[in-house]
Amino acid sequence: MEQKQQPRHDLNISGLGRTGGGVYKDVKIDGMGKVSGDIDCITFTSNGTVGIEGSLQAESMNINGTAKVEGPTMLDKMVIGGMSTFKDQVQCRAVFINGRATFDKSLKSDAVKVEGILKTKGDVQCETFSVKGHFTIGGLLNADQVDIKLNLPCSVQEVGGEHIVVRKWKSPRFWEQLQYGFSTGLKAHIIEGDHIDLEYTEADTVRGNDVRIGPGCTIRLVEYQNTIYQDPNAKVGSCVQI
Amino acid sequence: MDDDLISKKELLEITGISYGQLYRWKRKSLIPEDWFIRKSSYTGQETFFPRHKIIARVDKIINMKDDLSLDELADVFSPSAGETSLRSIELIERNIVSLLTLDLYVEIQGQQDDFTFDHILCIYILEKLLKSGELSREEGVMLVRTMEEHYGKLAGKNAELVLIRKMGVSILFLTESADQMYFDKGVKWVIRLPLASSMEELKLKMNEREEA
Repeated sequence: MEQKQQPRHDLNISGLGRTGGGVYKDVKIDGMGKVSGDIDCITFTSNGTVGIEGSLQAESMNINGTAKVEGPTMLDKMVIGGMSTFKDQVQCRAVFINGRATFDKSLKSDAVKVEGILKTKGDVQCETFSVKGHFTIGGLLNADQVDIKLNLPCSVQEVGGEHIVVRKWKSPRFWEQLQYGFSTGLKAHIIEGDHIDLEYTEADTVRGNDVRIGPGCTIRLVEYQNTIYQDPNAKVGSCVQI
Repeated sequence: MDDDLISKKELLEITGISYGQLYRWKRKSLIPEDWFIRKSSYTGQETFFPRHKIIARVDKIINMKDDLSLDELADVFSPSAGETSLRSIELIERNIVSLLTLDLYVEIQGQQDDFTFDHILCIYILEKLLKSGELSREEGVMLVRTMEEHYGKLAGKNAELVLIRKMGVSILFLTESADQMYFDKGVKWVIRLPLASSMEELKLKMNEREEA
Protein backbone atom coordinates (compact mmCIF):
# COMPACT_ATOMS: atom_id res chain seq x y z
CA MET A 1 0.00 0.00 0.00
CA GLU A 2 2.71 2.44 0.96
CA GLN A 3 4.63 1.76 -2.19
CA LYS A 4 1.71 2.81 -4.35
CA GLN A 5 1.64 6.22 -2.76
CA GLN A 6 5.19 7.15 -3.51
CA PRO A 7 5.80 7.87 -7.19
CA ARG A 8 7.95 5.44 -9.10
CA HIS A 9 10.56 6.82 -11.44
CA ASP A 10 12.43 5.26 -14.30
CA LEU A 11 16.04 4.22 -14.05
CA ASN A 12 18.22 4.14 -17.14
CA ILE A 13 21.82 3.08 -17.22
CA SER A 14 23.61 3.45 -20.53
CA GLY A 15 27.28 2.68 -20.40
CA LEU A 16 28.69 2.07 -16.99
CA GLY A 17 26.65 2.67 -13.94
CA ARG A 18 26.02 1.76 -10.40
CA THR A 19 22.96 2.11 -8.24
CA GLY A 20 22.10 1.29 -4.70
CA GLY A 21 18.72 -0.15 -5.55
CA GLY A 22 15.35 1.14 -4.55
CA VAL A 23 11.84 1.45 -5.92
CA TYR A 24 11.47 2.24 -9.61
CA LYS A 25 9.02 2.00 -12.46
CA ASP A 26 10.99 0.86 -15.48
CA VAL A 27 14.61 -0.10 -15.13
CA LYS A 28 16.65 -0.36 -18.29
CA ILE A 29 20.30 -1.22 -18.42
CA ASP A 30 22.27 -0.94 -21.67
CA GLY A 31 25.88 -1.57 -20.96
CA MET A 32 27.20 -2.53 -17.59
CA GLY A 33 25.19 -1.98 -14.48
CA LYS A 34 25.52 -2.92 -10.92
CA VAL A 35 22.80 -2.79 -8.31
CA SER A 36 24.26 -3.04 -4.85
CA GLY A 37 21.00 -3.41 -2.94
CA ASP A 38 17.44 -4.60 -3.23
CA ILE A 39 15.50 -3.42 -6.21
CA ASP A 40 11.75 -3.24 -6.68
CA CYS A 41 10.44 -2.25 -10.09
CA ILE A 42 7.68 -2.82 -12.63
CA THR A 43 9.83 -3.84 -15.55
CA PHE A 44 13.47 -4.79 -15.54
CA THR A 45 15.25 -4.90 -18.88
CA SER A 46 18.91 -5.50 -19.42
CA ASN A 47 20.74 -5.56 -22.70
CA GLY A 48 24.22 -5.72 -21.33
CA THR A 49 25.75 -7.04 -18.18
CA VAL A 50 24.01 -6.57 -14.90
CA GLY A 51 24.72 -7.73 -11.40
CA ILE A 52 22.22 -7.41 -8.58
CA GLU A 53 23.66 -7.91 -5.14
CA GLY A 54 20.35 -7.79 -3.34
CA SER A 55 16.91 -9.11 -4.10
CA LEU A 56 14.86 -8.41 -7.17
CA GLN A 57 11.15 -7.85 -7.31
CA ALA A 58 9.50 -6.99 -10.59
CA GLU A 59 6.48 -7.64 -12.71
CA SER A 60 8.50 -8.55 -15.73
CA MET A 61 12.16 -9.20 -16.32
CA ASN A 62 13.80 -9.30 -19.69
CA ILE A 63 17.44 -10.27 -19.98
CA ASN A 64 19.23 -10.13 -23.28
CA GLY A 65 22.78 -10.05 -22.06
CA THR A 66 24.11 -11.56 -18.91
CA ALA A 67 22.64 -11.14 -15.48
CA LYS A 68 23.43 -12.29 -12.02
CA VAL A 69 21.07 -11.96 -9.07
CA GLU A 70 22.38 -12.74 -5.60
CA GLY A 71 19.23 -12.32 -3.57
CA PRO A 72 15.80 -13.92 -3.78
CA THR A 73 13.80 -13.05 -6.86
CA MET A 74 10.05 -12.52 -7.16
CA LEU A 75 8.67 -11.96 -10.61
CA ASP A 76 5.53 -12.25 -12.65
CA LYS A 77 7.15 -12.96 -15.94
CA MET A 78 10.71 -13.75 -16.84
CA VAL A 79 12.16 -13.87 -20.32
CA ILE A 80 15.78 -14.82 -20.57
CA GLY A 81 17.47 -14.44 -23.90
CA GLY A 82 21.03 -14.36 -22.67
CA MET A 83 22.73 -15.86 -19.69
CA SER A 84 21.41 -15.54 -16.20
CA THR A 85 22.42 -16.83 -12.83
CA PHE A 86 20.20 -16.73 -9.78
CA LYS A 87 21.96 -17.43 -6.53
CA ASP A 88 18.87 -17.59 -4.37
CA GLN A 89 15.30 -18.79 -4.69
CA VAL A 90 13.20 -17.65 -7.58
CA GLN A 91 9.45 -17.33 -7.57
CA CYS A 92 7.67 -16.50 -10.77
CA ARG A 93 4.44 -16.98 -12.73
CA ALA A 94 5.86 -17.60 -16.17
CA VAL A 95 9.44 -18.42 -17.01
CA PHE A 96 10.64 -18.47 -20.56
CA ILE A 97 14.22 -19.40 -21.22
CA ASN A 98 15.68 -18.91 -24.65
CA GLY A 99 19.24 -18.64 -23.55
CA ARG A 100 20.81 -20.17 -20.54
CA ALA A 101 19.61 -19.87 -16.99
CA THR A 102 21.22 -21.24 -13.87
CA PHE A 103 19.37 -21.43 -10.59
CA ASP A 104 21.55 -22.22 -7.60
CA LYS A 105 18.54 -22.87 -5.38
CA SER A 106 14.98 -23.67 -6.30
CA LEU A 107 12.65 -22.36 -8.96
CA LYS A 108 8.92 -22.00 -8.37
CA SER A 109 6.61 -20.94 -11.13
CA ASP A 110 3.28 -21.65 -12.76
CA ALA A 111 4.72 -22.28 -16.17
CA VAL A 112 8.27 -23.01 -17.21
CA LYS A 113 9.18 -23.11 -20.86
CA VAL A 114 12.72 -23.85 -21.92
CA GLU A 115 14.04 -23.60 -25.42
CA GLY A 116 17.60 -23.10 -24.32
CA ILE A 117 19.42 -24.43 -21.32
CA LEU A 118 18.11 -24.72 -17.80
CA LYS A 119 20.26 -25.69 -14.87
CA THR A 120 19.11 -25.85 -11.28
CA LYS A 121 20.80 -27.21 -8.22
CA GLY A 122 17.58 -27.40 -6.22
CA ASP A 123 13.99 -28.30 -6.97
CA VAL A 124 11.76 -27.05 -9.74
CA GLN A 125 8.06 -26.71 -8.94
CA CYS A 126 5.57 -25.67 -11.55
CA GLU A 127 2.25 -26.54 -13.14
CA THR A 128 3.52 -26.99 -16.66
CA PHE A 129 7.10 -27.77 -17.55
CA SER A 130 7.94 -27.93 -21.21
CA VAL A 131 11.42 -28.26 -22.58
CA LYS A 132 12.85 -28.31 -26.05
CA GLY A 133 16.51 -28.30 -25.37
CA HIS A 134 18.69 -29.10 -22.47
CA PHE A 135 18.22 -29.13 -18.73
CA THR A 136 19.88 -30.37 -15.59
CA ILE A 137 17.93 -30.45 -12.36
CA GLY A 138 19.76 -31.43 -9.21
CA GLY A 139 16.62 -31.94 -7.14
CA LEU A 140 13.00 -32.83 -7.71
CA LEU A 141 11.06 -31.75 -10.74
CA ASN A 142 7.52 -31.43 -9.46
CA ALA A 143 5.03 -30.45 -12.15
CA ASP A 144 1.51 -31.26 -13.16
CA GLN A 145 2.33 -31.57 -16.84
CA VAL A 146 5.84 -32.50 -17.84
CA ASP A 147 6.56 -32.34 -21.53
CA ILE A 148 10.16 -32.97 -22.48
CA LYS A 149 11.45 -32.95 -26.02
CA LEU A 150 14.98 -34.20 -25.84
CA ASN A 151 17.65 -32.58 -27.87
CA LEU A 152 20.75 -33.06 -25.77
CA PRO A 153 21.47 -35.24 -22.77
CA CYS A 154 19.36 -34.11 -19.84
CA SER A 155 19.35 -35.18 -16.24
CA VAL A 156 17.12 -34.84 -13.24
CA GLN A 157 17.22 -36.44 -9.85
CA GLU A 158 13.50 -37.10 -9.45
CA VAL A 159 10.36 -36.38 -11.43
CA GLY A 160 6.88 -36.31 -9.96
CA GLY A 161 3.64 -35.25 -11.53
CA GLU A 162 0.48 -36.23 -13.29
CA HIS A 163 1.33 -36.41 -16.99
CA ILE A 164 4.93 -37.06 -17.84
CA VAL A 165 5.93 -37.31 -21.48
CA VAL A 166 9.50 -37.65 -22.70
CA ARG A 167 10.19 -37.64 -26.44
CA LYS A 168 13.18 -37.31 -28.68
CA TRP A 169 12.94 -34.09 -30.58
CA LYS A 170 15.76 -34.10 -33.10
CA SER A 171 19.33 -35.19 -33.27
CA PRO A 172 21.83 -32.70 -32.01
CA ARG A 173 24.15 -31.04 -34.42
CA PHE A 174 27.52 -32.58 -35.04
CA TRP A 175 29.58 -30.26 -32.87
CA GLU A 176 27.11 -30.57 -30.05
CA GLN A 177 27.47 -34.31 -30.21
CA LEU A 178 31.18 -33.90 -29.76
CA GLN A 179 30.61 -31.70 -26.77
CA TYR A 180 28.09 -33.85 -24.97
CA GLY A 181 28.78 -37.34 -26.23
CA PHE A 182 26.50 -39.33 -28.43
CA SER A 183 23.82 -40.38 -26.00
CA THR A 184 20.89 -38.02 -26.22
CA GLY A 185 18.57 -39.06 -23.48
CA LEU A 186 17.14 -38.31 -20.12
CA LYS A 187 18.78 -39.60 -17.00
CA ALA A 188 16.67 -39.79 -13.89
CA HIS A 189 16.69 -41.60 -10.61
CA ILE A 190 12.97 -41.90 -9.93
CA ILE A 191 10.03 -41.00 -12.14
CA GLU A 192 6.60 -41.06 -10.54
CA GLY A 193 3.33 -39.99 -12.11
CA ASP A 194 -0.17 -41.04 -13.11
CA HIS A 195 0.47 -41.20 -16.84
CA ILE A 196 4.03 -41.80 -17.90
CA ASP A 197 5.20 -42.00 -21.47
CA LEU A 198 8.93 -42.32 -21.91
CA GLU A 199 11.45 -42.57 -24.71
CA TYR A 200 15.23 -42.61 -24.52
CA THR A 201 15.20 -42.49 -20.78
CA GLU A 202 17.60 -44.07 -18.37
CA ALA A 203 16.04 -44.43 -14.96
CA ASP A 204 16.33 -46.49 -11.84
CA THR A 205 12.66 -46.68 -10.89
CA VAL A 206 9.50 -45.72 -12.74
CA ARG A 207 6.20 -45.81 -10.87
CA GLY A 208 2.83 -44.94 -12.32
CA ASN A 209 -0.71 -45.92 -13.14
CA ASP A 210 -0.43 -46.07 -16.92
CA VAL A 211 3.10 -46.53 -18.11
CA ARG A 212 4.48 -46.64 -21.60
CA ILE A 213 8.13 -47.47 -22.04
CA GLY A 214 9.23 -46.47 -25.52
CA PRO A 215 12.36 -47.18 -27.54
CA GLY A 216 15.78 -46.44 -26.15
CA CYS A 217 14.80 -46.76 -22.51
CA THR A 218 16.87 -48.49 -19.87
CA ILE A 219 14.98 -48.90 -16.65
CA ARG A 220 15.80 -51.07 -13.71
CA LEU A 221 12.37 -51.35 -12.15
CA VAL A 222 8.90 -50.45 -13.40
CA GLU A 223 5.96 -50.50 -11.01
CA TYR A 224 2.57 -49.91 -12.61
CA GLN A 225 -1.03 -50.08 -11.52
CA ASN A 226 -3.27 -50.29 -14.60
CA THR A 227 -1.58 -50.59 -17.95
CA ILE A 228 1.90 -51.11 -19.29
CA TYR A 229 3.33 -51.02 -22.77
CA GLN A 230 6.90 -51.92 -23.42
CA ASP A 231 8.66 -51.32 -26.70
CA PRO A 232 10.76 -54.25 -27.93
CA ASN A 233 13.71 -51.88 -28.09
CA ALA A 234 13.48 -50.96 -24.43
CA LYS A 235 15.45 -52.60 -21.68
CA VAL A 236 13.51 -53.13 -18.49
CA GLY A 237 15.05 -55.01 -15.59
CA SER A 238 11.83 -55.99 -13.88
CA CYS A 239 8.23 -54.99 -14.24
CA VAL A 240 5.73 -55.41 -11.41
CA GLN A 241 2.04 -54.69 -11.18
CA ILE A 242 0.93 -53.32 -7.81
CA MET B 1 12.03 -38.65 15.41
CA ASP B 2 9.50 -41.39 15.75
CA ASP B 3 10.13 -44.53 13.79
CA ASP B 4 6.57 -44.94 12.64
CA LEU B 5 7.01 -44.16 8.98
CA ILE B 6 4.93 -44.97 5.95
CA SER B 7 6.30 -45.35 2.45
CA LYS B 8 4.89 -43.30 -0.38
CA LYS B 9 3.59 -46.42 -2.10
CA GLU B 10 1.76 -47.56 1.00
CA LEU B 11 0.30 -44.11 1.53
CA LEU B 12 -1.16 -44.01 -1.97
CA GLU B 13 -2.62 -47.46 -1.44
CA ILE B 14 -4.25 -46.67 1.89
CA THR B 15 -5.63 -43.27 0.98
CA GLY B 16 -6.41 -43.95 -2.67
CA ILE B 17 -4.82 -40.73 -3.93
CA SER B 18 -2.67 -40.56 -7.03
CA TYR B 19 0.90 -39.44 -7.57
CA GLY B 20 -0.43 -36.40 -9.38
CA GLN B 21 -2.48 -35.33 -6.37
CA LEU B 22 0.31 -35.94 -3.92
CA TYR B 23 2.79 -33.89 -5.93
CA ARG B 24 0.22 -31.15 -6.52
CA TRP B 25 -0.41 -30.88 -2.81
CA LYS B 26 3.27 -30.74 -2.16
CA ARG B 27 3.58 -27.92 -4.68
CA LYS B 28 0.80 -26.00 -2.98
CA SER B 29 2.58 -26.64 0.34
CA LEU B 30 -0.39 -28.53 1.76
CA ILE B 31 2.14 -31.11 2.83
CA PRO B 32 5.23 -29.65 4.48
CA GLU B 33 8.58 -30.25 2.89
CA ASP B 34 10.10 -31.80 6.00
CA TRP B 35 7.56 -34.61 6.03
CA PHE B 36 9.22 -36.04 2.95
CA ILE B 37 11.87 -38.28 4.40
CA ARG B 38 14.27 -39.94 2.04
CA LYS B 39 15.64 -43.28 2.98
CA SER B 40 17.31 -46.02 1.09
CA SER B 41 15.47 -49.29 0.97
CA TYR B 42 16.05 -52.54 -0.86
CA THR B 43 14.27 -51.14 -3.91
CA GLY B 44 16.53 -48.14 -4.08
CA GLN B 45 15.79 -44.80 -2.55
CA GLU B 46 12.25 -44.29 -1.34
CA THR B 47 10.32 -41.49 0.24
CA PHE B 48 8.71 -41.99 3.61
CA PHE B 49 6.31 -39.92 5.68
CA PRO B 50 5.51 -39.73 9.37
CA ARG B 51 2.56 -42.14 9.38
CA HIS B 52 0.04 -40.50 11.67
CA LYS B 53 0.63 -36.95 10.55
CA ILE B 54 0.42 -37.66 6.86
CA ILE B 55 -2.66 -39.85 6.99
CA ALA B 56 -4.49 -37.32 9.13
CA ARG B 57 -3.44 -34.54 6.79
CA VAL B 58 -4.47 -36.39 3.62
CA ASP B 59 -7.84 -37.24 5.14
CA LYS B 60 -8.38 -33.62 6.04
CA ILE B 61 -7.46 -32.46 2.55
CA ILE B 62 -9.77 -35.01 0.92
CA ASN B 63 -12.65 -33.99 3.16
CA MET B 64 -12.20 -30.30 2.69
CA LYS B 65 -11.13 -30.02 -0.90
CA ASP B 66 -14.72 -29.89 -2.16
CA ASP B 67 -15.49 -26.84 -0.08
CA LEU B 68 -12.24 -24.94 -0.26
CA SER B 69 -9.87 -24.30 -3.12
CA LEU B 70 -6.33 -25.63 -2.85
CA ASP B 71 -5.00 -22.15 -2.20
CA GLU B 72 -7.46 -21.61 0.63
CA LEU B 73 -6.47 -24.97 2.02
CA ALA B 74 -2.82 -24.00 1.84
CA ASP B 75 -3.72 -21.00 3.97
CA VAL B 76 -5.31 -23.22 6.57
CA PHE B 77 -2.24 -25.40 6.87
CA SER B 78 0.38 -22.73 6.62
CA PRO B 79 2.15 -22.00 9.90
CA SER B 80 2.04 -18.26 9.30
CA ALA B 81 -0.76 -16.22 10.71
CA GLY B 82 -3.72 -15.03 8.75
CA GLU B 83 -4.20 -11.34 8.31
CA THR B 84 -7.64 -11.06 9.73
CA SER B 85 -8.47 -9.10 12.79
CA LEU B 86 -11.78 -9.23 14.58
CA ARG B 87 -13.61 -7.16 17.13
CA SER B 88 -14.51 -8.64 20.48
CA ILE B 89 -18.22 -8.76 19.65
CA GLU B 90 -17.49 -10.72 16.51
CA LEU B 91 -15.38 -13.19 18.44
CA ILE B 92 -18.30 -13.96 20.70
CA GLU B 93 -21.01 -13.81 18.06
CA ARG B 94 -19.18 -16.07 15.73
CA ASN B 95 -18.65 -18.50 18.53
CA ILE B 96 -14.88 -18.55 18.17
CA VAL B 97 -14.23 -18.12 21.87
CA SER B 98 -16.47 -17.89 24.89
CA LEU B 99 -17.14 -14.72 26.84
CA LEU B 100 -15.54 -16.20 29.93
CA THR B 101 -12.21 -16.73 28.26
CA LEU B 102 -12.31 -13.37 26.57
CA ASP B 103 -12.97 -11.70 29.91
CA LEU B 104 -9.99 -13.42 31.42
CA TYR B 105 -7.84 -12.34 28.51
CA VAL B 106 -9.02 -8.75 28.79
CA GLU B 107 -8.35 -8.87 32.51
CA ILE B 108 -4.74 -9.80 31.81
CA GLN B 109 -4.05 -7.73 28.74
CA GLY B 110 -6.45 -4.84 29.12
CA GLN B 111 -9.33 -3.82 26.90
CA GLN B 112 -8.74 -3.96 23.18
CA ASP B 113 -10.96 -3.07 20.25
CA ASP B 114 -9.38 -5.18 17.58
CA PHE B 115 -7.88 -8.57 18.02
CA THR B 116 -5.27 -9.63 15.51
CA PHE B 117 -4.96 -13.24 14.47
CA ASP B 118 -2.12 -13.81 16.93
CA HIS B 119 -4.26 -12.52 19.77
CA ILE B 120 -7.20 -14.63 18.73
CA LEU B 121 -4.94 -17.65 18.53
CA CYS B 122 -3.75 -16.98 22.05
CA ILE B 123 -7.34 -16.68 23.33
CA TYR B 124 -8.34 -19.76 21.42
CA ILE B 125 -5.56 -21.85 22.90
CA LEU B 126 -6.32 -20.48 26.33
CA GLU B 127 -9.94 -21.49 25.99
CA LYS B 128 -9.10 -24.90 24.65
CA LEU B 129 -6.72 -25.71 27.49
CA LEU B 130 -8.93 -24.24 30.19
CA LYS B 131 -11.90 -26.21 28.93
CA SER B 132 -9.97 -29.45 28.82
CA GLY B 133 -9.03 -28.86 32.44
CA GLU B 134 -5.32 -29.20 31.80
CA LEU B 135 -4.64 -25.60 32.63
CA SER B 136 -5.40 -23.74 35.82
CA ARG B 137 -6.40 -20.10 35.83
CA GLU B 138 -3.00 -18.94 37.05
CA GLU B 139 -1.31 -20.96 34.38
CA GLY B 140 -3.66 -19.34 31.90
CA VAL B 141 -2.30 -15.98 32.92
CA MET B 142 1.19 -17.37 32.39
CA LEU B 143 0.18 -18.64 28.99
CA VAL B 144 -1.16 -15.30 27.82
CA ARG B 145 1.91 -13.43 29.06
CA THR B 146 4.30 -15.91 27.44
CA MET B 147 2.43 -15.90 24.17
CA GLU B 148 2.26 -12.12 24.05
CA GLU B 149 5.89 -11.69 24.80
CA HIS B 150 7.49 -14.46 22.80
CA TYR B 151 5.11 -15.68 20.15
CA GLY B 152 6.31 -13.11 17.63
CA LYS B 153 9.75 -14.68 17.59
CA LEU B 154 8.34 -18.04 16.62
CA ALA B 155 5.76 -16.81 14.13
CA GLY B 156 5.82 -18.78 10.93
CA LYS B 157 7.63 -21.67 12.55
CA ASN B 158 6.19 -24.90 13.81
CA ALA B 159 6.32 -23.95 17.45
CA GLU B 160 5.04 -26.03 20.32
CA LEU B 161 3.63 -25.04 23.65
CA VAL B 162 4.83 -27.10 26.56
CA LEU B 163 3.74 -27.15 30.17
CA ILE B 164 5.61 -29.20 32.72
CA ARG B 165 5.00 -29.56 36.42
CA LYS B 166 7.20 -30.65 39.27
CA MET B 167 6.07 -30.75 42.87
CA GLY B 168 3.13 -28.51 42.06
CA VAL B 169 5.25 -25.86 40.38
CA SER B 170 4.43 -25.38 36.77
CA ILE B 171 6.68 -24.12 34.03
CA LEU B 172 5.34 -23.09 30.72
CA PHE B 173 7.35 -22.45 27.60
CA LEU B 174 7.28 -22.11 23.86
CA THR B 175 9.82 -23.98 21.80
CA GLU B 176 10.46 -24.72 18.20
CA SER B 177 10.62 -28.44 18.72
CA ALA B 178 9.97 -30.37 21.88
CA ASP B 179 11.18 -33.61 20.35
CA GLN B 180 14.54 -33.62 22.05
CA MET B 181 13.89 -32.68 25.60
CA TYR B 182 14.57 -34.75 28.67
CA PHE B 183 13.80 -33.95 32.28
CA ASP B 184 14.47 -35.60 35.58
CA LYS B 185 12.01 -38.10 36.99
CA GLY B 186 9.87 -35.79 39.07
CA VAL B 187 8.85 -33.75 36.07
CA LYS B 188 5.50 -34.44 34.52
CA TRP B 189 4.61 -33.39 30.99
CA VAL B 190 1.21 -31.81 31.32
CA ILE B 191 0.69 -30.24 27.94
CA ARG B 192 2.44 -30.56 24.68
CA LEU B 193 0.55 -28.68 22.03
CA PRO B 194 1.79 -27.94 18.53
CA LEU B 195 0.62 -24.43 17.77
CA ALA B 196 0.19 -25.26 14.10
CA SER B 197 -2.65 -27.65 14.81
CA SER B 198 -4.51 -25.10 16.90
CA MET B 199 -3.93 -22.61 14.17
CA GLU B 200 -5.50 -24.97 11.64
CA GLU B 201 -8.54 -25.47 13.83
CA LEU B 202 -8.91 -21.78 14.41
CA LYS B 203 -8.55 -20.89 10.76
CA LEU B 204 -11.17 -23.45 9.83
CA LYS B 205 -13.47 -22.12 12.49
CA MET B 206 -13.04 -18.59 11.25
CA ASN B 207 -13.53 -19.68 7.62
CA GLU B 208 -16.69 -21.60 8.37
CA ARG B 209 -18.32 -18.60 9.88
CA GLU B 210 -17.38 -16.35 7.04
CA GLU B 211 -19.10 -18.64 4.59
CA ALA B 212 -22.20 -19.26 6.65
